[in-house]
Order: sequence, then structure tokens, then C-alpha cells
Amino acid sequence: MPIQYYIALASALFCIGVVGVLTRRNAIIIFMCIELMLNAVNLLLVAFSKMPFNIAETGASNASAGADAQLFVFFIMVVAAAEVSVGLAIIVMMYRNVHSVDINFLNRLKN
Amino acid sequence: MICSIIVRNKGSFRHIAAFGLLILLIANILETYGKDFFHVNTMQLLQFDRFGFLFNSIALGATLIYVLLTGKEIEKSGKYAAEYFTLIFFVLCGIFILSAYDNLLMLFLGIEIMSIPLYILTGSDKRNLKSNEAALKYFLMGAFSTGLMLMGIALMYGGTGTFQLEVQRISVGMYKGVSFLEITGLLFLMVAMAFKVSAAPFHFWTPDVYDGAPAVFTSFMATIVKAAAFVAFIKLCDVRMTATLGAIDWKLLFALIIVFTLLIGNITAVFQQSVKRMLAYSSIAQAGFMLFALFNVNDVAKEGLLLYTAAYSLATIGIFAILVKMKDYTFEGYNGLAKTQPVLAATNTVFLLSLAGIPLTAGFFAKYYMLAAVVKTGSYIWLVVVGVLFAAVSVYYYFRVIQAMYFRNGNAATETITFSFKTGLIILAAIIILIGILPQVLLNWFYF
Amino acid sequence: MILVWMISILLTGGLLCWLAGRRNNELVKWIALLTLLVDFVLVGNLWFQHQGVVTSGASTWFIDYKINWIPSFGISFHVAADGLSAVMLALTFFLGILSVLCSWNEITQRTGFYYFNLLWTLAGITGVFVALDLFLFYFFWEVMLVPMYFLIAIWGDKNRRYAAYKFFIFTQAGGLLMLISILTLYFIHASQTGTYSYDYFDLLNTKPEPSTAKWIMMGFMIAFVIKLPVVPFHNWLPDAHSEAPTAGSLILAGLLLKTGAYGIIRFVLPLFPQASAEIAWWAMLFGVIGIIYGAMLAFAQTDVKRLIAYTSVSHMGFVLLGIFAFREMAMQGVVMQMVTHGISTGALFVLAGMIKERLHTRDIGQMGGLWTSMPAMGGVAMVFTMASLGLPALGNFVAEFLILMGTFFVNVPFTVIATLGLVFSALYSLRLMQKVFMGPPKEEKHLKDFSTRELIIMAVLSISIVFLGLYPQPVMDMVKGVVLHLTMRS
Repeated sequence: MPIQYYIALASALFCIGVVGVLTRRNAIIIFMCIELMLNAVNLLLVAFSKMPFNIAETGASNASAGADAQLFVFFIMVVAAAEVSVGLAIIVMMYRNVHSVDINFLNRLKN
Repeated sequence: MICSIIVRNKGSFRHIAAFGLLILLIANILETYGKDFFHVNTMQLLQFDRFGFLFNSIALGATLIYVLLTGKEIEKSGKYAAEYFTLIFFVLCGIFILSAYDNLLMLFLGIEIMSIPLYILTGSDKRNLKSNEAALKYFLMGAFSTGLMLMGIALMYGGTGTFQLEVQRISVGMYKGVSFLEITGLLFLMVAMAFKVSAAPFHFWTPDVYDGAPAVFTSFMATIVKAAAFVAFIKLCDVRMTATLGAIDWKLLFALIIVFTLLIGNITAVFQQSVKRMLAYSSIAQAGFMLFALFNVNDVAKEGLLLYTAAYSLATIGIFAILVKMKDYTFEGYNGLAKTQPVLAATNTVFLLSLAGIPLTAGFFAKYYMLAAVVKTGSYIWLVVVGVLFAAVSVYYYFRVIQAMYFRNGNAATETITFSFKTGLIILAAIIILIGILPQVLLNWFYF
Repeated sequence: MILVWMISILLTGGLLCWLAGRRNNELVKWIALLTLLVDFVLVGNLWFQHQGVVTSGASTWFIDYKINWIPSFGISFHVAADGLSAVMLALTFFLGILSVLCSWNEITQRTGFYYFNLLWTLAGITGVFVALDLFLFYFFWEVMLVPMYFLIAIWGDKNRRYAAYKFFIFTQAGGLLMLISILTLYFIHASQTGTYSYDYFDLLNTKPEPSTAKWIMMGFMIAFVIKLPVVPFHNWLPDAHSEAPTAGSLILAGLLLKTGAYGIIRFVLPLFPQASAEIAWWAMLFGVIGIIYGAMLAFAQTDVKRLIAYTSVSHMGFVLLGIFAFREMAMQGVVMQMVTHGISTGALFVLAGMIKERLHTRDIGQMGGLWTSMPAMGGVAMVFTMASLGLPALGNFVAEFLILMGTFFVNVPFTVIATLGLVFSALYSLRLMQKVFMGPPKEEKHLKDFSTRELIIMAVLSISIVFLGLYPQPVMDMVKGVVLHLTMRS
């Protein structure tokens, strides 16, 4: 399969994530959309690690060339996990105070 | 040679924190002058240069002052004071990584290490709805920009096959070895960084978050953290964007962002009623000025960014330290402060003048550098003119505070002010004036 | 070195005032007065010491002092004085002393801080008149703004905050544009010679491209023209002048406006001889517009201080006209005009301040017939309104006559129109006199005539204006070298 397919898939997932973040009003769903974006990136990175897009340009053709990208994926996962824990904590805190996770409630600061 | 020696203070006394910072500062300065303490093989992930060291020194020094001035407030702001100090140290750790990263992985990690503790600090006032809201907003926006940044990094990896900042370019392909993927990636990355430094049109989270977060932490976020994001940004610009200048006109893009940022920051700041919110907008406006350094990265710009960081951070920390002591955060709350607390009013005036860029204060030289960096290129003079006009506008809202303090009658209520707090403020103001008269003091380090 | 002393005496004097202000208000006034007297003596000494040197015309700079400030950028602390600076310095300290005297009783609140601001403004002005490093010049240019802002905003009249803001933002915008120009010039110089320097003498040799030179010069011009002020940029002036306390008006009219003119003479003409020759026609046009427009508006005002403020606009039009005539005679006239306008308009402002102290109004409609109750004041006012309309034997006449003579060789139509401006000035001056001092008294109230202090101020001012009208030679000699130098270059 050519790399373009992967790029297209990852971009599609990413776009779904972005659109979700921008349009949805539920904090949890926004959060899920962000995760979707991150996973799209993971997918893309893994794809690139095995199939360098432009070998002629970079000269990276040896077998271990893609290792750094795979490593990156792990880092993203770890960091995403950390973010999830903090983020969920914040959402829970919010929920305790207003009994809702709808971000339309978030307009107290406007005035 | 690694200098992110993490002091994890579990002790709940701010003195320990201050002491730790002092040790770090000394260690850092010594390392600047080439005394290595220990070597760590960083596998080309981190690279320490003088610029980074200097920035670290400034960040450490500013944090030290910050802790000394507002440490008590931090302790008051919640049950878990010790944890807050720890989180601040985590943030600093991220900042050190950012000032030295040589690899996009490290950029990502640095930003995250810096941001995640901040989400917690923003929401530290658990019972306060405003704080909750600010934390959630900050978190969602921050996570979103992280997503964008990662996408950018991934695309850049696809384009170049490496995460290293420096890319060996072989001139094949379209634009001297710059591929479409890399450009798109860089654009994503730029948007994400613009989020972090709160440049328009990606600034909208800033006022809400700065306003909602407890004032002590806003002070930290608006100064040191923001400056660190700028340092990361300038490194990125320096290497990657300069290299791809042929493919896309970054300058025009930056020029537009700068104009936008200055416009929104300054104009909205004029209409604010609360000093805290005005400072939030003014920090957007100041970001606009700091962007001048990214517009054309050269030595003047780098030095200028350092000076700007120092000037802006010190002044803002001072203003916030006073703000925290105020009972009422609106402009009316400052009425007649000069009568009740002359020392506070006088030092606050110095800080505000510095932010407005009036000579004899550090802020003037900072602005001067920024303008000089662009004027040096010889083109885009119109941009400088725009910047200058907005600097004149900014005088208006900074002076509103001064007016409130000196010319209006009122009874500005403050919490009890200790003698040591006053001394701290006076020293801070003295430093600002000293830099304003002899910027050499700071910059000699740069030239060595 | 003596110049550095002058500035530092003012600065420390200001600080002393501030500190002393907490304990003793009387002491503050004496400190301020003493500071200025010392400086005035220093200038006087300077003047007599170097009179011979100047008239011989060998080198126009008789004091030159330079130390490094920020060497890595080529910024130095370079101060120097030539005839022009000396004249302006003398004027500065002269008016400075008077401003302290005339605010002797007017200022009752926060006296220490007031004199601090006053002295620091004067220090900034002094710095502007002697700085020969462009960066330093900009520095002083800004330093004089902030204390002036405070002077207007704290001790001014009802509408003071608005006026102070307007003043500050106008001049700040102009100043920053000038900073850009300075920077551009600096970098052009660096690219031509390879050394970074802000020094006046280094930058004199810079030859930017004619098209760029024009833009750089515009930056300088806008800053100076706002200060001067020339008609489209004069907006801040009436507000600032009318709202400021008396001493503030005196300094604004007498000194701050002169910094604009000084800047044009010192920097714009020598740095950009060609470009300034190109815009000469336009500059003169604006000068003439200023003369007529200022005079007409002055005629329409009902507020005494605003009226005087607009006469400044008119008089400064003469200055602009004279500078861009590029004639020795006109240039001499310009310097004379700067000095005499400083004295005469300053005196008028002081008078307005005194009237306001007594009547608590600035509205002309509520005055009238003051001569009967205050004959001495009426007499002095007569002298200065006559000076303002250019009556022979008074200083302003010499100045305006020289300017018109000089301009006549260059542009006849403009000269004719400017002369018409003099007719207008007669109109508004006489209207002022008539409404305020003549006619039936509006209310029967016993008004005190001059006190001794006021009498001293007025006597000194009157004597000096008459002296300059009869014997302007000392000033002319002093600036002769500079003027010759300038007009020969272009």
C-alpha cells in the first residue's frame, strides 16, 4: 500500500478530531476528539517510520531508520495518559461544582 | 552536561524553594562560564548553548524573585502549598528542556512538562468556579494545540525523515530539499506555538485563563512560561523557518500575526475594567512585541528577546505581586493607593512605566531591541511603524492604573503589607531601573 | 563636564525636593530655586567665557564631553554646546527660575513631588539642548515627557487628565517615529562604514539614498513638528496649555515648543540637507498656514489660556517659515523668535495664571475693567500683548522682522501672507486687552494688584523683553557661528 493512503487516513482522522473539538459542546466529547487527533498522529508516525516518504531526499534507508518515530509514538502515549489524568480530574472538579460537563456553562469570565 | 537538576521540594516551606532556586541559579551561572558539574550524554536531544543558559538564568532569577515576593500567597492559595511549589519546579524543568532542545521530541516533551502542571495550578482554587472554568478552558485549548503540534511534527518527520532540528538538506526536489509535507508540518507547528505564546488569532484563551486563574499563578504563567514558549519558538524559527524561507514567505505571515496581535491586545486592553484582565490583554500586546524577535532572527533579536524576557517578567511579576495584595482588582480598587501605600504605588509606577517602554526603565531597551532587530533588515519598516503606534496606545491603559493610584481619590484597600515585601518591591524596581540605565549589565554575559 | 554638572544638579535637586517635601514645604521651594540659580550662574559663566571664541567663528562647538555609555552599540554619553545650545540653556534656566517663582503660592499640595517633576522636566529639556548622541537625544526627549505629564495631570485644571493624556500620546507617538528614523539612520551608517555609532558627528557623514533620506527625515520631522506644533498636529497644544498649572504652561510654551524648533535646526537640516531643501516649500506653506490659522483661532477663543495657546501656534509658524527659508537673516530671526516668544508668551501665561488666581475663571466674558483695580498688571499685560503683536522696540519685533526679511528673498507670496498674519495678531492681542482690562468692570470686587514676588517676576520679564528688543546683539553674536555654518551648508 502506498504511503499516501496512510497519510489520507491519518489526515481524515485528524480532521474529524479538529471538527469535533470545534463544534461539540460536551467537555468529554471534546476531550475524546483530542485523543482522536493524537491517535491520528500516532498512526501517521508509525506509517512514516516504516515507509519513509522520500528516501531519496533524506538518505535514511537503513533498517533502524524509523526507530525514532516509533519511540516518539510511545512518548505521545505516555504524555497523553498524563494529560488524560489531569484533564479528567479537571472535568470532574468542574462537574462537582456545576453538575454539568457542558462547556456552554463556561461564560462566567466573559463579563 | 545537563542542568535540569530537579530539586523536588516536598518541604512545605517556601524558604526551601527559594533556597533551591538560589542554588540552581548559582549552578546555572557557573555552568554558563564553562564549569561543568557532570556530563550526561544527551544523544543530540538537547544542546546547551549560551543563549539557553542565559535564558535559564533569567528564568531562575525571575522565579526566585517571584517566590520571594509571592511565596506567602502561594501558601495561602490552597491546602496543598507544598505541591504547588513542586509543580512550579516541574514547570521550570520543562522550561529548561525548551531552552535547550535540539530535537522535536524534546520540544514536545518540554512543552508538555511545562503545560500539564500549569493546568493543575490554574485550577488550584477548587471551590472557585472561575478557576475551574479557566482550568478547563486552558486544558482543552492546550491539549488541542498539542494535537496540532504533534501533527506538525509528524508531517515534518514525513518530509525530512528526522526529528533533529538541523536537517542535512540535499538539494533535490521542489524547493531546495523542502517538501510539501515539511511546510505543512511547520505551519501546524507554528499555529501550535502561536497558541502557546498567545499570538492572535490564537489568543482567545489567554484573557479568560489569566483572569480566572489565581492571581499568583497568573503571574507565573504570564511571564516565565510565556517567555519559555518564545524561546522555543525562536529556536524553531532560527533553524527550520530560516531554512525554508525560499518555499514560503514566513515573514509576511509573521508580519500579519504581529499586526493582528498588537491590534487585538492593545485595543481590547483599552476597554477593560479590571486590572487583572487588562494585564491579560496587555500580555497579548507584549507578545506582539516579542514576536518582532521571531520576525527576523539575528543576534540582535536573540539578545533582545532575552532582555525583553527579563524586563517584561520582572515588571509583570512586580505588578502581580501588588495586585495580589489588592482587595479589589478593578481600576477603582487602585484609587488613591498613593496615599495609603506610597511605596507600593511608586514601585508599581516603575513597573508600569517599564511595560509601557518609557526610557530609564528596562522596558525601553527591550522595545528598542525589538524595533532594532526589524529595522536592521531594512524592509518591513511599515511593521515597525505599526508597532510604534501601538506602543503609544499602550501608554493609555498602563497610565490608567497610574492615574487611579495618584490622581483619583479613594481608599485603596490592601491586605497587610510587610516590611520585607516592600523591600523586595523596591529592590525589584531598582533592578528594572538599573537595566534601564545600563543594559550592559545583563548583556555583557552574552558577549562574555 | 560643566554640562553634565548642569543636568545632574537638576536631577539631584529634584530628588532633594522630593525628599524634603515630606517634612518642610518652604524648604522645597528654596532648594528648587537655588538649584536653578546655580545652573543659571553656570550658564552665565559659560556664556561670558566663550563669547570671544564664538564670535571669532573658528569652531562652533566650545564644549564637548563624551564618555562611553553602551559601547557595544556605539551609544555614548556625548554632550556638547555651541552658541545655539548656550542661548537655549540660558532661556531654560531663566524661565526655570521664573516658573519656580510663579508657582510659589499656587502649589499647595504635594509640593515636594511637584518640584521634583518640575526640575526633572527641566533636566530633560537641558539634556535635549546639549545631547549630541542621537540615542541620548531620544532618551532625554522622552525623559522630559513623563514629569511633564505628571505636572499637567496632578496640578492642572478641571479637564487635566484628558489634556495630559492627549499631550503624552501625541508626543510619544512622534517620539517613537523619530526613534525608528534614528535606528534606520544608525543601520545605514553601519552598513556604509562598518562601525556602529549614534554619534552626531559620525552620522553627519552618512549619506543615505535620497529616497530613503526623505523617509528618515519625515520621521524626525513628525516628532519635531508635533512638538512645535505645526497646524495638522497642533491639536494637543491648546488643551495641554490651558489645563496645565501656570508654571507648566510657562515651561510648555517657553521651552517644550522650542525643543521642536531646536531639533529641526540641530538635526533635520544638517543630517538631511538635500531632503530638507526638497520639502522647504511645503514646510514654509505649513508655516504660513500655521500663522494665519493660529491667529484666527486665537481671535475666536473665549478662554484666556486657550487664546494664548493659539497665539503660540501662530508664532511657531514664523519659526517654521524662517527655518526653511535657509537664509542667515531668517535663521537669526528664528533663534530670536524662540527666545522672545519664550519670554513674551511665558509672561502672558503667568499673567493669565495670576488673573485666574484672583477671579477663579479663565473666561474672557467674565472679565473686564481690570485696569481700574489692577493698574500695574494692566500695564505689564500691555507690554506683553504689544510684544506679541510685534511692536517695535520689543523683542518679538526684531525676530519677526528678521524672519520676514529673510523669507522675502526666497518666497514673496508667503512673506506677504505671513505679514498679514501680523495684522491678525494685532486683532487678537487688542481684543484680549480690551476684553480683559478695558471696558466697564464686570463686578465690583476689590482685587489685589501685584505682590512683591509677582512684581519681581514681571519686572524681570519686561526688562528682558525690552532689552532684547533694543539690543538683541548678544544673542545674535552667540548664534552667529552656528547660523553661518548651517546656511552655508545648504
